[in-house]
Amino acid sequence: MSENEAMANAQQMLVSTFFVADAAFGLDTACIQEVVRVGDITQVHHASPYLLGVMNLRGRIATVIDLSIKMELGRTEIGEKSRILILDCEGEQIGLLVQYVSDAISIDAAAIRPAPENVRRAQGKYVKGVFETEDRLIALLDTDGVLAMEDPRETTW
Amino acid sequence: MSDFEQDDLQNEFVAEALEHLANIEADLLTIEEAGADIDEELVNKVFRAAHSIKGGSSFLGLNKIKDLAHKAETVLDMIRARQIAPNPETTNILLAAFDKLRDLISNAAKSEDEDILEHVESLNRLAASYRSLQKNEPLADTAFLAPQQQASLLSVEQTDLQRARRKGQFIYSVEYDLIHDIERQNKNVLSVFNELYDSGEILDCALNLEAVGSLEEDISNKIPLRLIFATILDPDVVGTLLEVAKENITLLFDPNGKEESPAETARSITLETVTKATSSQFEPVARPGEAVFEPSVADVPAQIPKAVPSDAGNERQEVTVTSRAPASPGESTLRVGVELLESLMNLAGELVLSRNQLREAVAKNDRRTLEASSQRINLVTSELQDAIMQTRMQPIGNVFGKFPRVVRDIAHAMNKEINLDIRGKDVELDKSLIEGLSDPLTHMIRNAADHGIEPQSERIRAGKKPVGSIRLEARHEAGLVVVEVSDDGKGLDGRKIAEVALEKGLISQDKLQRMSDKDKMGLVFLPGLSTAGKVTDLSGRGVGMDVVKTNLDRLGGKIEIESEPGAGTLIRIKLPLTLAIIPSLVLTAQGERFAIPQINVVELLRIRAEQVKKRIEVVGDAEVLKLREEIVPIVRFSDFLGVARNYIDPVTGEVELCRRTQLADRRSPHYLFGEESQENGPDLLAQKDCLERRRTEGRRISSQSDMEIVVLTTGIMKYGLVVDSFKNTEEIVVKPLGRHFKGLQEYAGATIMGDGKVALILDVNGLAAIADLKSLSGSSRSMQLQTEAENENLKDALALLLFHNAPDEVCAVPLDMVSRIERISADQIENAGGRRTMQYRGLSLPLVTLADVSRVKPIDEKSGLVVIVANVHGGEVGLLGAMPVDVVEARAVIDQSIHRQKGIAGSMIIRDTTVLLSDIYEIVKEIYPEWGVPNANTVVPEKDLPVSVLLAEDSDFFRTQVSRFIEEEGYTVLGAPDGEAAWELLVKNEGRVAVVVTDIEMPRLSGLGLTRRIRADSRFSSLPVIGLTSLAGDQDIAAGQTAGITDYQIKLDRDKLIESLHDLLNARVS
Repeated sequence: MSENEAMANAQQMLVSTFFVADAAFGLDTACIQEVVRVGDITQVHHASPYLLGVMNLRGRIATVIDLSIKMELGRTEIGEKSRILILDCEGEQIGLLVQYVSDAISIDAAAIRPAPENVRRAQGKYVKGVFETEDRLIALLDTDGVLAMEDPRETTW
Repeated sequence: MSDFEQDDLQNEFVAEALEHLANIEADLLTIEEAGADIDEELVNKVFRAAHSIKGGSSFLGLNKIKDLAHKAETVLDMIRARQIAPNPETTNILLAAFDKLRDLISNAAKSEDEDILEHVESLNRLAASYRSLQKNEPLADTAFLAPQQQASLLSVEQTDLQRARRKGQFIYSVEYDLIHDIERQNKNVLSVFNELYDSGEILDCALNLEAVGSLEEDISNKIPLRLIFATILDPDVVGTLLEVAKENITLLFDPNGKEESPAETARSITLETVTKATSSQFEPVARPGEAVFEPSVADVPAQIPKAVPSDAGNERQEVTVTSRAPASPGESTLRVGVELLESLMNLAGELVLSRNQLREAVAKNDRRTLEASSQRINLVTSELQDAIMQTRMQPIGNVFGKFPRVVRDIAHAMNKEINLDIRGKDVELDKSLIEGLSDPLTHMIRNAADHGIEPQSERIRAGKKPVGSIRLEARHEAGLVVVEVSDDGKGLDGRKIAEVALEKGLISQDKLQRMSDKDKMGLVFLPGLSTAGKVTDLSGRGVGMDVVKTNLDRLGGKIEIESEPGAGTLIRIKLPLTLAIIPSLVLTAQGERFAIPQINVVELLRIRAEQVKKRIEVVGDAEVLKLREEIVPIVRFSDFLGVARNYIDPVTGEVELCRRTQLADRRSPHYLFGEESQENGPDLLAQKDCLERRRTEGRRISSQSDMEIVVLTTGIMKYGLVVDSFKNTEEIVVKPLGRHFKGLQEYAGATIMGDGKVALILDVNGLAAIADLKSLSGSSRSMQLQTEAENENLKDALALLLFHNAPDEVCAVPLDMVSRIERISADQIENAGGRRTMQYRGLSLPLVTLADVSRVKPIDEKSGLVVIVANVHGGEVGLLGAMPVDVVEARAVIDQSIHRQKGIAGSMIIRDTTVLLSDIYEIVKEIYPEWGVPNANTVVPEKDLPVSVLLAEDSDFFRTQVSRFIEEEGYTVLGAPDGEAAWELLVKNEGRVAVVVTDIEMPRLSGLGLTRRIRADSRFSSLPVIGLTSLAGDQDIAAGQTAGITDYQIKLDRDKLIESLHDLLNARVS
C-alpha cells in the first residue's frame, strides 16, 4: 500500500445504511456492536413512547429505541425485515429498531456535507450530515444525539 | 517492561496498598489509646504497611506516594522507638497523612499532580519537634548512597541508618535484573518485594530505565532494578535469600562496624559502590556533569532526590500512566480464597460434563438421559450460584472499620467522650451491599455521636455515666443480616416528631391520634420531615433519616427505630444477604409478567366475586380494602400501567387517550392494536369484540370475577396491588435497567425469566409514590371504615373446617378440635353392634354422623367421604362428612336459636350460605353416653356453696358453649357479656368465685383490662384467670402473661379447658 493510498483510507469511513420510515440513514459502522432480529421486547410502561422497551441480549438487558418515533416519523411496523442495531454506550447496550438494514458502504469523509436546512423537525437534531450515493441521499446519524436521554417519563398525564 | 505490565503491576500495587491501609485507622486509634504503653507489634504492623507502600510506589515511580509513606514511616518508627508518645495530636497527623495516602493510591495515576506538602510538613514538624528536644541534629539528613554516575538514583536517610544500627541490620545495595532474575524466573516484582519484607526492609528502590538503552542501540537485554535492603542477615547468607548473583549485592553498611558518624559511613559507602558499579557490566548512561550530592538540608519534597533518571524515562512513564488510567481499583479487583476458586473450577468442570451429556441426549433424543442431565445441570447451577455468590461475600468489618475514627473525630470536636462498641465484624455480606451500607451507616453513627449522645455535663445532670456509648452490631438472623446502631443518648421524642409531621401536613390529626408512640417514631423516615432540620432543633435527631431509608430501600433493606426519651435510640437495619439474587413474587397484569421482591410482600389475597363489594370501598376517588382491622389503599395495577399510556400522534400531534376524559375506556384500539385498527381491516370486528371484553374486565369494581390482591409494604405503609394473577415465587437475578429508564421510580430493575423474556421488577416505594397513595389516610370515610374494621375485629375470629353433609347442607366444626382429616371409601366403614367403626392406625375408630342425632339429611356418599378425627373426652372419634372440605376464618354472628337442635350448636352465614355448626361433644354424648362420666378430678367444695366459675365472654354462642362444658363438670357458672359486667359480678359475689375464665377481645372492658383490675385489687389478686382465645399467637400470649393471665386456652377445646380448670382449682384447694 503506497503512502497516498493509506492517506486516502484514513479519510474513508464505513457506514451502515438502513431505513427508518422509508427514509435512508447511516451510522458509522464502528459504533455498531451487532445487528439482531427483533425478538421479545418487554414494554416498560410509563416510559416515553420512543422507548419501545427492553430485550434480553444474551443475558443482558438492552434498551430498545424506536428510531422512527424518536425522529417523529411515526411508529416502526415490525416486520420480517426489521432489525435492531445494538450500540454499546458506555458499557450499556442500546438497540435501535429500524425498518430494515440495507448496506454497508465506504464513503469519503470529505463527501459528508452539513445537513440541509430543511431537514424536518426532530430529525435535524440527530443528523450530523448527509452524503450522496449513486441513487440517493443518506443522512448520517449522530450517535450521541440519538442515544441522548430526554423526557424519560411521559409528560402527558 | 511493557506498558501493559506496568499497568498490571500498578493495579496490583494499588489493591495491595489499599488492603494494607484498610485497618490502619483502627490500629492508629488503638495505638493512641494505649498511649505511652506501646504495643510494639501493632506499631510494627502500621509501620510495615507504610513501608511496603513506600517500596512499591518507588518502584512504580509514584514519588508523591513514596514520599508521604516515607514520612509517615519515619514518625511511626519514632513512636516505635518511644521517641514520640502517641497522643491525639500525633494520631491526628498520622490519620490525616494516611487519609491522603489512601487518596493518592486510589487515584495512583494522578497522584503525581497532588499536593502533599501540608502533610509532609506536619509530619516533619512532628519528627522535628522530638529531635529538637533531643539534640540539635539536622532534620532527616539524606545520605546518598548512589554511585556518582547514577546521580540521585538511590538514597538512604539518616533515620534509616540509625534504625539499622539500632537493630543490628546490614544494609545492602542489590541489583536485580527484571528480565533474568524476575521475569524469566516466573516471579513478579511485588512477590519479590513481599519475600524481602519477610526478612528485612526495603529502604529505597529505583528502576534504571536508561540502562535499557534506546531502540537505535543494541538492546542490552537487561532492565536493572536497584534497591537498598536492610536486614539482619549477614553477607554470607543474604545471597541465598535474594537469589541474585553475588556480584550484584553490595554491602553498604555493617552494623558491627566501627562507630562512625552516619554521614561518614554514607560517604565511604558511596565510594565503594562507585567502583563496584563501574566494574560491573552496567554501563552508566547518565549525562556527565549532573549534580551528585544535592544539598542535604531540609527535606521538603522538592529537594527529595528524583528517582526517575532522565527526562526521556520520565516522559515515558507519564505516558503510560495517563493513557490507561485504571478504574477505581477498589471495585475492579476482588480477592477470592484458593479453596473457593478450586470449588468453582470443579463446578465448571461438572457443568461442562453435564453439557456434553445434554448434547448427547438431545442428539440421540433420549428422554431419560435428558432428564438426568437436566437434573444435573439444575444441581450444578445452584451450587455454582452459591459458590459465585460466596466470592462476593465480604466481612462487614470493612465498613465498620472506619467508624472508630468517625466517632472519635466527632467526640473530639464536640468535646464529648464516647465509647464505640463494635460487634460482629465477621458477618459477611454481598460486596455491593457492603458498599451501599457505608453511607447510611455513617449517617446513623454520626447522628448518634453528634445529636444522640448528650454533652458530658448534661449526662451527669441526667444521672447517666459521663462517657456515652454507641454500639454497632451485626449478626445473622433468619437468613437476613441485622445491623443495629444503638446509643444511650437522649433518645427520640415521638410526640415532638409527630408535632412536626402534623405541622408540615405530612400526616392528618386523625391518623396521628391512632398512632402508638412507636409508630410516631417511625415518622422520622417520612420524606420531607427532617430535611428542614426542624427535628434537629426539637429532638436532636432524625437528620435526613428519610435519605437513609431511601438508600436502604434501594438495598432491599428494612429499617426500624426504637427509642425512649432520655434512655437512648436503637436503629435496626435488616438486609438480605445478597442483592444480586432475590426471592420474588411473579405476577401478571395485562398479560405481562412482573416481579416484586418477596421482602415487600405481606400477603396474597383472593377476594371472591361476591365479597368484592363488601371488602372494597371507595374513599374519595380511591379504592380501599378492608383487611381485618386495617384499611389499606389499593392500586389497580392494570389501570396504573394503562394510565400513562398516552400517545402523541406523530402526524396530527394530538394527544390521545387523555386520562381525564377516557378513564374507563382508556384501552382504546390505539393502545391495543397500534395503528392498524384505524384501517377497516377484516378482523376489525374481532378486535372490537376483544376490546369490549377487556373493557368489561377492567371496570373499576368488577362483580364477575374474583380479585387477586397482593398486599405490599413499603415499611411505612401498606397497600394492595390488584393484579390479574399470581404466578409463583422465584429467585430472580436482578439486572439494572438502562439509563433511559432512570427516571421511572416504579421499577427497581429487570430480570430474565426462564423462557428468556424480560420481566420488570417493581419498586414498591416508587409505585406507591407515583400512584399517590399518601392522600388517602385521614379522610372521614376511611376513619369510619377503620372504626368498623376495629369493631369487626372485636367479633371473635373462628377457624372452621367446612364439610358437606348432604350436597346442599354445609356443616362446620371448629378447626381446633380437629386432629386429622382422612379421605375414605364407603367400604372401609364397618357396622358392628349398631355402632359404626373403621380400622384406623391399627385401632378401631368409632364413627359418628350428624344424622345420627340430628334431623339432617343423610350423608351423600357419592361425592366422596371424609372422616374428621377429633379428640373428645380423651379418646378419638371420627365424624363422617362428605367432600368438598374447606377451611375458613369466620367472624360471623352465630345464631343459636333457628337451627339449634341436638348435635347442632347453632348456625352462621359464611359466604352467603347457612352453615350448621356441629357440636361433636353433644353427638358423642348422645351416642356414647358412658364416655362423659363426671371427671374424678372435679373439686368438691368444702363449704355448702358450689364452686363458681366467672365466665366473661361477649359472644353468646361461645358463652353458652363454654358454660355448658363447665357446668357439665359440676361447677356453677356466672356468665357476663363483657369485662365490665364480669367485674360487677365478681365484686357482688366476692368470696364465691374460685376462678375466672375470660375472653380477651370484649367491648367496654377487655379481658386483659379485667385481668389487670383483678390483679390490682387485693381482694382478688390471687384469683386464677384463664384467658380464652380463638386464635392465640405468641404475641397475644405474652401480652396476656404481662397482664397477669394464669393460663391460655382455646375456646372450643373443651378437654384442655376443663383440665386447666381442674389443675388451677386443685392447686388452690391444696
